[in-house]
This record gives sequence, C-alpha cells and structure tokens, in this order.
Amino acid sequence: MIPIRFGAANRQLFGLYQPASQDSPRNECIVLCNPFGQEAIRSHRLFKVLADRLCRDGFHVLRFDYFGTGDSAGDGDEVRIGGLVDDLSTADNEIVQRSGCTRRCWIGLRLGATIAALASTKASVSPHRLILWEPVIDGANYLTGLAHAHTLALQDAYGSRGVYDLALRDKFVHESGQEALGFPLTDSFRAELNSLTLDSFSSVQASAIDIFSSVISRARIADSNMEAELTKRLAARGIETFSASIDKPIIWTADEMMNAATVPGEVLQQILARFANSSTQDVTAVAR
Amino acid sequence: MIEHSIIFGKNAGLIATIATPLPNALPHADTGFIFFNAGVVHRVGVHRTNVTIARALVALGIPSIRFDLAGLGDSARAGGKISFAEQTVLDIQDAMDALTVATGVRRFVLYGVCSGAVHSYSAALVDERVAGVAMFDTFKYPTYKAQMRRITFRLKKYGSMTAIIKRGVGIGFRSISNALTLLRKPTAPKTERVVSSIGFFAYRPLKAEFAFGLRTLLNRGTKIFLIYAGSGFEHYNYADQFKDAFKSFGITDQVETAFLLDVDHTATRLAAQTELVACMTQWAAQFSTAREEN
Repeated sequence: MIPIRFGAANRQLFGLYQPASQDSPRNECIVLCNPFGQEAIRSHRLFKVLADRLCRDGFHVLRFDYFGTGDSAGDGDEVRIGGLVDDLSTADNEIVQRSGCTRRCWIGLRLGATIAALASTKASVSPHRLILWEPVIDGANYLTGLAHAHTLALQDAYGSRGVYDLALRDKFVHESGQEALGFPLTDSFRAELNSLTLDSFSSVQASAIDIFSSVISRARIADSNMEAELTKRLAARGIETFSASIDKPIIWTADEMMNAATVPGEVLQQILARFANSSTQDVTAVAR
Repeated sequence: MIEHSIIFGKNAGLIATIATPLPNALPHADTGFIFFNAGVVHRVGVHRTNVTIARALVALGIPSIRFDLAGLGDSARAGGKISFAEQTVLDIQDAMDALTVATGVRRFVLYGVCSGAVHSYSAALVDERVAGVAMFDTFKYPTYKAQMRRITFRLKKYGSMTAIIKRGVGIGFRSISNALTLLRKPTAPKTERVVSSIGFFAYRPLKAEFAFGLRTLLNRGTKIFLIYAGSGFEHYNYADQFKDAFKSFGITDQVETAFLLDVDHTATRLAAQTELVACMTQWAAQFSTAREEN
C-alpha cells in the first residue's frame, strides 16, 4: 500500500495506491469512489477490505479522498458535485499512469456511485465497467433522508438532553438544512444534490454497468423503483447491465458514535464475483 | 502549510499524514501534536476534527501527525503478540519518532477522543517525551451535585413542582421507589468498567488511581487538559465537576478543564466542531514556543 498525494497543487488529493499483489497482475485498475459525509466514515473500513481483496486477486486499486474530504486538502464547505467529478477523473489518470493498465473500472457507493456515473459522461475514454452500489438517483429524496438521519442522530447523541431539551431539538431541526451528520451542506452543494434525477444518468458511458441495491423495503421503495428504472434505461441504450439485490438493507447514515463501520461480507463476495467472471474472458496480464 | 502522507512504523504498516508550516512562514514550534483514531473512526477524527485542529495548529507553527493505529483505519494489523492496549502505546511512540524524523520536534502533545483519550493517557504515563495530554470526553467521575442536577433535569419534563407531586402520588410509593432507583442507577458506577452514556463499555481507572496518574504527569511537567462534552449529561453536567470530584487529591489547580455544554461526544454539529477546535487551539497556543535553532 502506497500513500500518495496527487493532483494540482491547489487541489491536492490523498490516495492509497495498492498495486496488484499477484505474480500475474491483471490489465485492469480499479478506482473506489467514496460516498459523502457520514456514509464515507461508515464505509471506510469496507473500502479498505474491498481494496485488499481486489489487490490480492490481481487488480491495481486506488482509494482516494475528494477535495474537502478525508485527508485531502480543502474544507468541507468547498465540496461541489463538479469538483467531485473532476477529482475522480484526476484519480483515474493517476492510477492509469501508475499501473499502466488500459482497462479501468470505477466502483462507487451512494453519492460516490452517482459521481462515477457523472464522471463517465466526461471521460475521454469511458471506463470498461461501472459498479454502482445504491447510487443516489433522486437528489431531493437523498437530502430528505440526510435531514431525517441528522435530527435522529443528534437526539440520540445528546442523551436525555436530546429528549427533554426542546430548544436544543429545535436547533437540530433548524441546522439540518445546512449540515448533515457532521458535514457541511452549503447552499450550492444542496442545490446541486437537489437537482439530481434519473435524467442525470442519461449519458452514462461504460461497456458494462452493475447496479447493487438493497432488497426492496418500505423505507427504500422510492430508491428501489429508481434503480430498476435506471437499469431498464441503461439496457435500452445497449449497455450490458447486471442487477444484484442485497438481502440485508444497510443504513449508510448510521451514526453509532465511533463504532459505525460496516463490512457486509455477502456484498463484497458479490462484487468480487463480478470480476472473477469478466477476468476469465477478456483480461490479460501485463508485465510490470 | 504542507501536508504529506507516509507509511511508517517498525512493521512499516502505519498510515499517516504529517502537517507542517511552510519552511519560512513562521518560527516552528518545539512541540508536535499526535492525533489518531477515535473508536474505529480513522485518523481524520470524528467529523474530520483531527484535520481541522491540525490545520489550526499549523497556523500557530505547530506540526502534527495524524495516523491510524495498527489494525484500524488504513493501517496494517500488528503481529498480535501483545495486547491491543500495549500495541497502541507502541504505535503512538512510533508516531512520535516519525514526527521527529519529519520535523525535528522532540516533545509531543497527545490528543485523544473517548477511548483514544485512554490510549493518550496510557502513552503519556510511559513516555517522558510527552509534554501535554488533551483528553476529550473520557473518565467521568460522579459527584452528588452532578447527581442532583441530573435528577432535577429529568423532573423538569413533568412541569411544576405541584405536577411532580401529583404524579408521584398517582403512581404510588412503589413506583416512586422504582423511579428513584432508575434515576440514580447510571450515576453510581462502582466498578472499573462502566457503561458510558453512549452505550458501550469503557475502562475507567478508580478515582485514586487516576489522581495518582495525573500527579505523576504533573510532577514531570506534563500539561493536562480534560475536555468534557455536554451530551453526556448523565455523567458529567457542570463545569467544575472534575474539580469537585478530585478536590481531596490536591491536583485540581494544575489540571485544566473545559465543559462544552453544547458539544456532543463526537462533535456532530458544525457549531460544536467550531467550539471544540477553538477550545483546543486556544489551549495548544502554549506549545507554539519556537525552537531554539529558529
């Protein structure tokens, strides 16, 4: 594992590059795209385990933090959709240069999946495969969910004061428009998120797109319908699509104090299986 | 400011980012700060507060390293031959060595949140390079005043005193007894392992043991800063609670404390983050003394 800092001097990004660990590395590199805010904290360990497994299976992997997030330069209030998309492109260039691979895959979770989809529309060479794990398709619905999770998390975090102190509770609700679970939601970023719809995905480019979604439940009915519709639209455009359902829904915004990390093994297995299938057909080893 | 990321440690498996002032920007301090995980949250800290504090410190000329303990965040697992608690102390010492190599500082302040504060305290006790320890929201000791404030606060939800009495009569003596037992229960832990207000077990030394440890550090000249969040109202609910709890040990004048009423255990609200960062930065300013070679 190699910690790197890359990108323009005024937009330095932190990344962890993991060259393929097998003797016969595959000619395929993979960029993992973080979700936003608390969802990124919750999935940090998951992405590390996924990167380790992919690396062990012969893939070159890059995890990175967008500008204004994690260990990268910038502040949280500088996060914008356009910036996140550009950062993914920068990360993609970085891993292609470092690995020498010609085939590229992007795996994104939640907003990271949406960013991967949007970035593919601007890429000079589109990625071979996109894996979109519960992409944010309906931005307005996503914001509503964040606001709800924010208020609940704070009521829980403040213990008895969160229950009985009505002035404090009013403050939580009022602030939920400008922040989400500890991370800023500026007016600009909010507006960008709010404008995300199915149509935002109309120009997505990739040879194959896999969509992983949680099993349909009452809480996710709107998201599930969107994911099904997205899959249908992509297939209609002639893109090879694959859909997988995850049996146990994961609450990505969970803020269980400092112990919210989750590593759902069954989903990891399903993702890894997608690469096992493709590699036997058309992936060739390159000399390092 | 310069930030660069490294992999370090005796097994070359610890991941860190070092933040330093620009070479000629201002005199560099002779002390560096060490940040690491809070629970399983990786080195950026709860809601990225480690990053925010580290950058505020750079403005004071103070360098820092933020890293993942072995087996947490991005760092590799350790060999497993020693306990996690012992390993964390070794990892923190490795981080001090790495910051010395990178910046030349030879004195350190350890900042820890919740269980991370326990690790900071443990490392400070065994390493004389530690010039300061800042512990956020850990080791809370009850007082009668804290208990009364807690009970009073809970009773407020019933409204006036008349309403409280009416309700008390209504539910009967047995229920009153049960209710009082419940109200008292969380504030009277007798064991070393206590349930924190956020629902997980955490080690807490006996009061005399903690006082002895603090005195050991103070005698060595180590600065101590105990910061308490207002969200743990069940266990810590007024500014001088530490001083009241430890008044018989003769150390309270030398220990700095802060009670941040509107800050929760993980500084979730942006306003809470601002308050925590300001509090830490203000305390840290005493370590911005320039190195002699500057």
